[in-house]
Amino acid sequence: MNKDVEQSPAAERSDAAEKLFSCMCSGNCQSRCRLLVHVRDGRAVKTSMAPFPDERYNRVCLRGLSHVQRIYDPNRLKYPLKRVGARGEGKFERISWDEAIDTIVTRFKHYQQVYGRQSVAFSAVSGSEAYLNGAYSSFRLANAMHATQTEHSLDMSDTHGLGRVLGTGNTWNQSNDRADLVNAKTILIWAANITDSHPHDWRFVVEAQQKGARIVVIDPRFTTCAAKADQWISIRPGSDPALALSMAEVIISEKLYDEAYLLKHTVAPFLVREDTQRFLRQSDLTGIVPEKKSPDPYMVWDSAANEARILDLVEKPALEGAFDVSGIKVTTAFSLLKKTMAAYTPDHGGRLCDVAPDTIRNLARLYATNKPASIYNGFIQYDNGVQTGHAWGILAALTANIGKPGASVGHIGRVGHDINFAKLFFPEGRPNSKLIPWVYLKEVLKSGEFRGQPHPIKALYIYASNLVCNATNQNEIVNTIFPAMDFIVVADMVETDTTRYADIVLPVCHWFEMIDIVQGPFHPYTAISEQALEPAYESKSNMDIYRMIAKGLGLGEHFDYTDEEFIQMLLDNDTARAEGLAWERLKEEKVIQTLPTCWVNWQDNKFPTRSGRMEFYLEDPKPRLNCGVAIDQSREHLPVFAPPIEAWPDNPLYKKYPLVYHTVRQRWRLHSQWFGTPWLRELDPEPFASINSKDARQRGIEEGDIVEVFNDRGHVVLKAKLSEAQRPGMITVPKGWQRDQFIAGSYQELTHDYVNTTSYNQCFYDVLCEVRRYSDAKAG
Amino acid sequence: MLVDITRCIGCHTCAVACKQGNNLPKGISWNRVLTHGGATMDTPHGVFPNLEIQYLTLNCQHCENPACVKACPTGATYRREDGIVMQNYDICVGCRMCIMACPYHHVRSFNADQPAYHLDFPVGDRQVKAQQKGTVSKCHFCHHRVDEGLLPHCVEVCPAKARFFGDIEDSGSAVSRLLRAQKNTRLLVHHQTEPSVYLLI
Repeated sequence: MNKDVEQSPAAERSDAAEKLFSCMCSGNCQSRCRLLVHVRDGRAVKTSMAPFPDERYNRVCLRGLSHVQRIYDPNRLKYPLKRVGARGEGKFERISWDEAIDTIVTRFKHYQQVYGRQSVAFSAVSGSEAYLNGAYSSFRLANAMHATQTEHSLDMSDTHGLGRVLGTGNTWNQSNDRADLVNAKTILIWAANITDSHPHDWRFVVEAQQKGARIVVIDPRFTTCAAKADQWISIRPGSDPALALSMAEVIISEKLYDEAYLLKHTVAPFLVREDTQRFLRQSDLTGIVPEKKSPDPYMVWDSAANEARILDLVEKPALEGAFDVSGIKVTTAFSLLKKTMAAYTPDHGGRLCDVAPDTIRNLARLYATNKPASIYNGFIQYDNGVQTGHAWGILAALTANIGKPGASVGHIGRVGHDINFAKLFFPEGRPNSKLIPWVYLKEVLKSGEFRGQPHPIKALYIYASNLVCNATNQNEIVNTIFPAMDFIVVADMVETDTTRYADIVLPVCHWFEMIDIVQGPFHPYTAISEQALEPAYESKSNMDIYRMIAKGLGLGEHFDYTDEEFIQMLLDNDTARAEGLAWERLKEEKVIQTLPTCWVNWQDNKFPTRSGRMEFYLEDPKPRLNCGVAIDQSREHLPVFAPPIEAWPDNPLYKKYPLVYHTVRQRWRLHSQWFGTPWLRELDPEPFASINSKDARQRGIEEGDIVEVFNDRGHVVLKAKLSEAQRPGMITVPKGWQRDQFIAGSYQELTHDYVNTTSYNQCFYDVLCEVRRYSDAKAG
Repeated sequence: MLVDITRCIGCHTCAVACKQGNNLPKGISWNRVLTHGGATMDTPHGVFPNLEIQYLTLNCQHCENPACVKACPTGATYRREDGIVMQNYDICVGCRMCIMACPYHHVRSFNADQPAYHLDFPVGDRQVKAQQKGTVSKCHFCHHRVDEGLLPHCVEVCPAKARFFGDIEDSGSAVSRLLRAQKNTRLLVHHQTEPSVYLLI
């Protein structure tokens, strides 16, 4: 080699023959990669990795490099369609945009007049996370119409559990920047398959490992990151909260906790009233309830004075103990925690998790002593996710593994602090649209009520989402929810499992055919996504579609803005101005840094909870969303192990369906996006059910056999792949394939739509099934 | 080129970058990702829970003593001064002697038919030469990029930062430094072709 080109400069530039545009890959992997889109003769011919100012955040993956085939996908919807056959039959006829919009406007007007303004519902998930034309694009119209919106009910159970401890609520803003992982000495990768789902974070883990950090992967399956880790702990599917609680027991009983941190930054010393389960406050003793905004100080136990005193007045409150304060029986929150955790000895936790007790002891010791330690967790897909998240918060609080470089817990989501969503979303200055969790929609349709008020819904407008493919219990969606709708519109880029059920199908632009603005969270930048291409065929941007609908509904005044004017509404706030985040500058520079690199959350140990501390004890646990359904608070002050709602050996159903069913995310698709991309299908041509050889042998299944995976809700038929990576007793089927890519059925027929009224979350892995050779199934 | 297989996560980003950048026809891959483990892709070796899996990317090894060059009757396969082993489609007669001579499996591809594509216009780098029916094609380290001071596609995009490209004769280069610091090997050295692709292990 005579050239040394180790440093790849961003040397590619636009010229007369090839124009380059700065665009953002805006999917819900959330990596938000910056891409250069290369355009020759008006056509995209290549996407390439575009640099961020700090090289550590440069990133692209196999999907980002396949956009050319998504833009020119043979499944691309070319023009508006109306249904001519039965719903789901897939028979459509081309119509004009005028006819499509007229039909939608006439129907929407009719339903709103007859059944009330809430009778039209918009439903999006995460088809694009760009701020203007992505999955939030209907918010302005929905609020102008006073329409209903469905909330996605995804990835929110552990988020809620940990979010209640941190005070972060319905956001994912919990962890440090992922680049900060290099500062950790211990990293627990828990229920996350980073190498498939967030490959760009892997380099930070490796860097930490090369500096001597210990990497432990907690996952039932042997994933690629399990193979690369220093230790892999295969737990029984759905036993995650038991492992976390048992670790907490070890940390408490072996006194490995950080007492100073607990006293200063958590509710550990707060006194919990035995009668009300709430924290003891000054007003409980004085009888004088303070004015609304005045503080009502928390009381703690002053051992020196042998009395309860106001928190701020006590230098070192008691960590443990039960006391009588003027006749009120109280116990410190830490003592309650200790008592609750005492049940989860490593012996008991080990039985629940199917791991050796010493493995739990050593894991707890490692996390508590080899600091700083970070928990890089995925989303818990079982009904007990809330408890898992809550327990993770307890682990971080006990060990002070939070608020420092290398010490972090939870999901990443520090975005939007400099975005004025309200100005764009609420044209009348206030939210007018009711939000119904997707998992609760069936209940609303059945009862006709929401929060005790009549709430009929007659029309569903689905966009940025392939619901039929991605939401749980497919047969219930198509056989119960859809038939309850008089009218269904689906706006998408390509034909999907969902467009088949539409009455009207609208063709939407690819991301690079419209302008937008995109932020992290997996990098600290805000970036423009330029319009590199003219919309293909007759496709339109989401906002252009809403402009037409709004005009027809007489709401045109709210949409008399260009996309750039809408984006400027988002940037109209003091934080953005202080950061220099301005649209003109973004157009010029393409990328603006809006967060520090390697940022650390909670460095000041001030948490957005009521007390400002980590509230591992919840005095007033609330459901994630208010659907007017009360929860049993007594079960949620502290986490206890609740088995998964279905996927657990004690479930009688287990005798009939002894395999836990995981529908896993793989690098070949993003949810269902890229399902038909030819380059990726060359590498990953068809779905496989992965089974451990032991389970396969018992059922006479061999490599490549066509098998039926089934339960009482439905089935999927596909080839079997024998893989020791699967823990015996479980089966995995990759997610995102469309119905016609399976031999029969769909992977999503098997999942259930049980409603947990605390988390309102779809729990994809909390599912039991059985598998048999398809030839046997057909033979009956 | 140097590939750190301890870092490689088998994500196939390199394979797709190559496919796009070099506008490879349907079914042709110059850079493949092999599973070193069980019988099929992404399956480990061993019995649960005692398992192992590694990934190995395989492209033309750009040998210093290339068997393919010696075997080529027309000079279509030749070695550039900087070490890149090239393939000239215009004078390749499709005899496939190079494929026979090469000790590495499937790093060279033969276009038996007219190359077919998923799209009806060329994608990727504009400098890429159109592949021809009846000729052999293979990785050329993205020579057109190297000549402009850019990294080969597969190296530039690697999310795991497992791929490196540089001058091994320059003792200060990153590849030289890494080779000094970490245990490494090359594939099938007993064939004495002196491959230029090193693996950190």
